[in-house]
Amino acid sequence: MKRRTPLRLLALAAVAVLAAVPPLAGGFTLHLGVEAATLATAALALGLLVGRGGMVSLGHAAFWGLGAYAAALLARHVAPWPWLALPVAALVAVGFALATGVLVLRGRGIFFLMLTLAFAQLAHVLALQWRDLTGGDDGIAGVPALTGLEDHRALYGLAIGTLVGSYLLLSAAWASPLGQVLDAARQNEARARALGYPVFLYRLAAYALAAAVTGVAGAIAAHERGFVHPRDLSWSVSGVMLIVVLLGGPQAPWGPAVGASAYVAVEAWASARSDYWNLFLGLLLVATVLWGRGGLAGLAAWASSGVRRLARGGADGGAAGGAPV
Amino acid sequence: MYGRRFSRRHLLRLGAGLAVAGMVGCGQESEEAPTPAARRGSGPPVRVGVLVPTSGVYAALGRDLLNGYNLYFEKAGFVAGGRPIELLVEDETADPNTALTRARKLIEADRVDIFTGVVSTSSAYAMRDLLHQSRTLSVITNAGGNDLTRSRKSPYIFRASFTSWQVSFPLGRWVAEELARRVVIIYADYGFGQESRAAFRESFVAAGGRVLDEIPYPLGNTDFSSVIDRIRAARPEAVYGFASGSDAVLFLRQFVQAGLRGRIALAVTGWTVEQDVLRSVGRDALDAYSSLYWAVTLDNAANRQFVEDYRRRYGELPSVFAVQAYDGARVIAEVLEAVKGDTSDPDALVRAAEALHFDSPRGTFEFDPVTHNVVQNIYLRQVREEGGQVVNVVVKDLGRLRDPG
Amino acid sequence: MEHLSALLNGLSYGMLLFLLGSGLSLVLGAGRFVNLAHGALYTLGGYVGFTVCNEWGNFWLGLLVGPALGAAVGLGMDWLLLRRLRGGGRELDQVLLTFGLALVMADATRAGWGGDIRSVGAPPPFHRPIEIGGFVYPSYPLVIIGVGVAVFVLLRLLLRRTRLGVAIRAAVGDGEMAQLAGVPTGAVLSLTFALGVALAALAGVVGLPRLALAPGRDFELLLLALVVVVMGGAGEIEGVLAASLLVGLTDALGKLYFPQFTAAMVSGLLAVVLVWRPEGLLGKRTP
Repeated sequence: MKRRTPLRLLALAAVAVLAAVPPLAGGFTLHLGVEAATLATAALALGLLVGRGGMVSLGHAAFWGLGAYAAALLARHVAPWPWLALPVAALVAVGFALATGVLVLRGRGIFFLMLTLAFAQLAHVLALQWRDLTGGDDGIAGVPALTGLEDHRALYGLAIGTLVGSYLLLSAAWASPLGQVLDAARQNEARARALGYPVFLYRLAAYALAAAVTGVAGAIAAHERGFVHPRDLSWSVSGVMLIVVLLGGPQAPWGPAVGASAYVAVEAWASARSDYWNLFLGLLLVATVLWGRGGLAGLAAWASSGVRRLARGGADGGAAGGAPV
Repeated sequence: MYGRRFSRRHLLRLGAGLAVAGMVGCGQESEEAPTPAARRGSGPPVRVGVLVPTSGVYAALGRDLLNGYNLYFEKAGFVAGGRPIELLVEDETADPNTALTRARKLIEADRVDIFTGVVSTSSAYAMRDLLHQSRTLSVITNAGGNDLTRSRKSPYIFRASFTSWQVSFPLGRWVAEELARRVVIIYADYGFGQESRAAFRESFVAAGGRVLDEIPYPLGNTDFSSVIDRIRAARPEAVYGFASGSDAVLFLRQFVQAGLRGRIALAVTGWTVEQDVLRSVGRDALDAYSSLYWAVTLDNAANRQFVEDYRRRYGELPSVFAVQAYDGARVIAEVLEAVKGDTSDPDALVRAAEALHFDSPRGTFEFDPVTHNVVQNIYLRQVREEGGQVVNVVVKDLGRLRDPG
Repeated sequence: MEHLSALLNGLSYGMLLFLLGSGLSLVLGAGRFVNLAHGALYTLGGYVGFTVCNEWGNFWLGLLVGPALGAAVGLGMDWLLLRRLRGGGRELDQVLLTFGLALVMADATRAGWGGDIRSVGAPPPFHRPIEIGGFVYPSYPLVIIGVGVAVFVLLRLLLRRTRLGVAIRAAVGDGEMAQLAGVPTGAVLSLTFALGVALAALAGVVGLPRLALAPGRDFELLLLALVVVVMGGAGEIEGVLAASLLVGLTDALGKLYFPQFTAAMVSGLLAVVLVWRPEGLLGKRTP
């Protein structure tokens, strides 16, 4: 126990330092920072569904996009108050989750995947067709900044705060009875049901929780960009979220957040240097599967156990990673 | 057994390494346009941010635009106003959110002096506030949604391309007077398509025409059979359509396969039969009429020179997108000349751009001082085979048009 | 008249979807493998067909070269990368790996063939429409219907009547048992995968006169393939056929009666079918 804390503290310190860079650098880096923080929040939520519940969804962008549109429309037609925008965004997303969850959760595995995709696509088409409300393919531009958060550094602070808060909330859910039942159902659904757990209700609850968190993240992103577009609901955004979860490693609650930050950073870096960003990302994904040991989280666990082994080996005078006697 | 496993892994690692190296290596070359040693220019280079799609569904347009920019700047030796010019190219992609991020990179991180490009109207709308608030002189060389130079205009945003209204409005009257009184309208069901349809309809009906049916189709549609069935059922004399890129290719191919070519005339917006589409469909597009502000066969000195230069440099005929970028590059160069390379005052750059007046491949080029949209002639063209090539031949000059704003 | 036209439109579009989905279904159902590179393989086949048609002036040759190349690529992919991901429990890895491959192929084809839109006209004599009485209809879509029916019949024969087909179903049903009984399961699954890729490439070539190739097409088609495969029950060839025809006809008739809802048709249909029968049209209900 004592040996683990220095490593964890070190990791936390590194994260804190990284998080402080965007507001200090300002401008484009700040923009990337908010993008990373909001994507990370959405990814954490999806990570709960995928990692704990085995519910692989390709419609996650629906929650994000609906939250974004709710916030943008509120800011435009009512008032850009943060204490109004964020809860409403969460509520709209949860509403969608409950309405479709009842139907979507009837499916398993790839059928669940396609159902989530189908409903997200329907939301996407709605955003495209309902031009009077959403502006259709032109999107909603000139979204007013949130009152009190006009300075993007403050908005960044909100994004980081939401990320941390979501992490605490989701990892609590992860460890709680809710998470445990989800995990049990993922491993053997029939047995979980036989033990008397209302698996469907637990799953629906997790689905709604994930929706709320993602809706808020989408709302913050909309205000930072000042722009919302039907693409925010599309399967390509859902796909990125899923990739980010798998890249970061769905077995740890914090994996997706690391995956998201890495994705935003690498995309900004690589696309400036090459026309072939897709190729690069594709190779990265292939490499992760072949040699990645379960995403970045898996790699981190492997690396830290390796460090610990080295430290132990040094203290013991050379014993190479054997089990302690 | 161990040997076999090792060799496959080894092969994989080698392959992956080579691929990454190759990608990064190739990428470096194509990333920034070549900047040959500036002979006459001195001082810090003028940084021009170029945002065009190099991947995704609009990649072909992006390539043509880059060709246009490079052709002009190469001729000018990448020097203007006494300073060397540096192009920083970013991929717009087909996603407005990504385009916005790339634009922010150019403006906030790379601190470009001048911004240019943008194919997609929704991307342009997304970055309008960014361009305006940063007071960056922006020369838009495609995105043609009306609002960008109407309700959303900005003193710093100039459009060297077109508005949807400019291209479709004059076509309506010509069709009613010279081609057909009974017409079916097809259009891509999104902002630009709807604007085009409205502009055509307005002048067509005012000149005595009758619209028999209006058929919207989703952008990116792959199966036009039902659209063609509806056209056939309405029995029009001609079809007016807005379709571009792959929509245009598919529509033309399927129109011909349905046996309608020669039975129903086509009078479409120019992009439906521009060189990029003609490269893909060839003779299937023959006889179609279209309206646009340029044609490869347009007979003026500037165009003859441009087409010749383009052909020699790239080995194929230019499309209108190359012209848009070529003109955009010239705008940038002439603005820099006018301010003698001093890019410190954005408002001086704006005044210089407003005062521009030159002979471009499309005719006389100038900006409307109120909307900052280009004022240009619209030509009526027909697809014909000339000298073994399928090209647009100018049939009539429909006049000089200024977007009403 | 327009109803007959719409019917034929629906059938031909449906058949093209069947051709697209059959390979994916074979790999998913028989091979228990999720291949998200399927759309990219379709477009690769299409590009090859385009090159063959352009260089040698013969579209039909492309119908041979495309699938042959596809099979080779499939074998290569399987041997190099995909073998180790077989079996249950590795679905997420399969998804991530094949998706990565799809991205790599997307940029590779863009590097190879450029970002321009590639299309070919219908090969003679099918470039002229047929005219019966007053009814005019393009003839190439009928070719697609014919090819689709032929592929369906052949696949069914393969899976039910030949030893290879039996071996495939044995290897899937109980791999260990099959191996004990002398079925070379590894080789069989590799062959199945190669066949699936060959079918994707074939669909790419056949579809070329009707669908142009452009960057981004691969993922659009992957989505459609997933839709018909999953809607059909994720494994049975008959299911894919039923789902494809259903989607094709709904799309065509929908465009006739509700043109403003076209974009939502397919998603809506998918949602309705899967909510009504969560394991797909012809899928097996699990307890």
